[in-house]
Amino acid sequence: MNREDYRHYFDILELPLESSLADVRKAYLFLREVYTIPSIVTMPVDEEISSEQKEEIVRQIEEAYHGLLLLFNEEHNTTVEDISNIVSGVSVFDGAVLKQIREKLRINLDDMAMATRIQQKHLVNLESDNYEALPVNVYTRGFVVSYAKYLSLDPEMVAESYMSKLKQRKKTGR
Amino acid sequence: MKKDPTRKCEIWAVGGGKGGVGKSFVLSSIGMSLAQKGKVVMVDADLGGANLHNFLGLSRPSLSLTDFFERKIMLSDLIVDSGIANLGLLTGAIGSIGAEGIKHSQKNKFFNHIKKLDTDYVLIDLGAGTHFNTIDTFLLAEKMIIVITPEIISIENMYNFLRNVFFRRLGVIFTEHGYRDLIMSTWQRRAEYSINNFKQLVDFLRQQSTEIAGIINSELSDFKVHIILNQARNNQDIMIGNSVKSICLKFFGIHSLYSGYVEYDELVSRSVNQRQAYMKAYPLGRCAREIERITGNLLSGRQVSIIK
Ligand SMILES: Nc1ncnc2c1ncn2[C@@H]1O[C@H](COP(=O)(O)OP(=O)(O)O)[C@@H](O)[C@H]1O
Ligand SMILES: [Mg+2]
Repeated sequence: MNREDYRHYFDILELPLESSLADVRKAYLFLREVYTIPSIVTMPVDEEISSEQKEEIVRQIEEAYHGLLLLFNEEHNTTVEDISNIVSGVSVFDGAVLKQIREKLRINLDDMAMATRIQQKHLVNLESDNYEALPVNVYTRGFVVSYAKYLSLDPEMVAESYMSKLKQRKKTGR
Repeated sequence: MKKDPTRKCEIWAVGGGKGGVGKSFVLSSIGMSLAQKGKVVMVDADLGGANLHNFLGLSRPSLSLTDFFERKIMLSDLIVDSGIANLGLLTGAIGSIGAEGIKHSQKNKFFNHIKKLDTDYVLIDLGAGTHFNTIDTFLLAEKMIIVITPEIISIENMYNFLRNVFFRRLGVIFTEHGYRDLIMSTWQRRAEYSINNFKQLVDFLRQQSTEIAGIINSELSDFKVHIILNQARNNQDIMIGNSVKSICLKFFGIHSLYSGYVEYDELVSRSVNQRQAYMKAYPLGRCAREIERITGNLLSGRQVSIIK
């Protein structure tokens, strides 16, 4: 199996053939957002592009992403697990769980800090449930949302879970 | 566009549906940056509202393209010194004629003279709108550049302009192959063929014959526009260039390069009002650095990517 066989998927994600797993993930998250969330770039063509056409584009993006995950599994001889497999079975999204998911997805903190524009020290505190060192709740919640988005998790659900544990701990003083 | 071997210079043109997005500012600044690399002639082809000179810090030159169209003076004799080394300016006319006022024969002569200018680069600034004279001038360029801003009106205009430009070019090629008016007549019967958008029209035409499909595929693969996003105020604005590029590909099948962005900077209007060129007055300003990067990207074909 080689990359040439996957050219179609790279094309759909608008990436060159030599892209890394991190590139693929970034492109996927970016494109998924462009084609699912209405914005000033899609609104002008809303009238003429039917929702079926848009759904078809999103379907192709999903297919390309999951197809490429298989390619990376093969290349690295390890399993880049599908996010949904990891997430099912998680009941509380605390720092340790988030860290575990991030590592399974082979995302490093540098990339994460750059993409989310969150300082690395905050990410470390977030992952180690070091609540005292985190900023006020509204900011921390924002960090969790960005963090979850970057991992393709449901941001609202994760933030809800993370923050309720945080509040509980702060209240009971650990 | 394909390179004509008799042509001496490389033509870059800036267009885009909307007025006021910063076409003239961006083009004049790129011109100043490019003049460090070669000889540049800037042409203000906004025939109704020429104002390129303002961005160079000049008052209106007395010679203009009107003298070419009405008094038949050679283009090369109308180039005025811009005050910047290696950079000449051919200024537009104000008020007297608009893009609509140019006859076919005049237009061809104008194009031929532009191609023969003795310079390395010709940079053409176009007015707003989608008049076919404006579009034909845009199509003359090897590098077709569209300037947008992070605003829905500008993006809507850009899509519209881009589709007009592509169909204008396809129409010319079709006519050469004996398919005159094919696009127009198909579009007029769009209800019958259930065609709702650009892509469906293109796909419908493709199905007409293998020859037509071949023409369309080759034109689509040759066709490439450069996108510049102006007046960005934050990172989200900058990403709009990436999104627009993707939409052009996935919704229209048109390839583009996101050549770069320019931030909003109050010093732009200040420099205009002080009759100074921004690039000269604020060489370390945000926009100056971004313009230098864009010029480099336009030369090399690099672009702004979400993956860095
Ligand atoms: N990056 C920018 N930051 C701030 N003002 C800008 C910027 N670009 C353009 N402008 C201002 O916007 C106005 C329109 O620019 P102009 O280049 O004349 O647009 P166009 O040629 O597209 O009609 C001008 O007043 C100019 O000073
Ligand atoms: Mg202008």
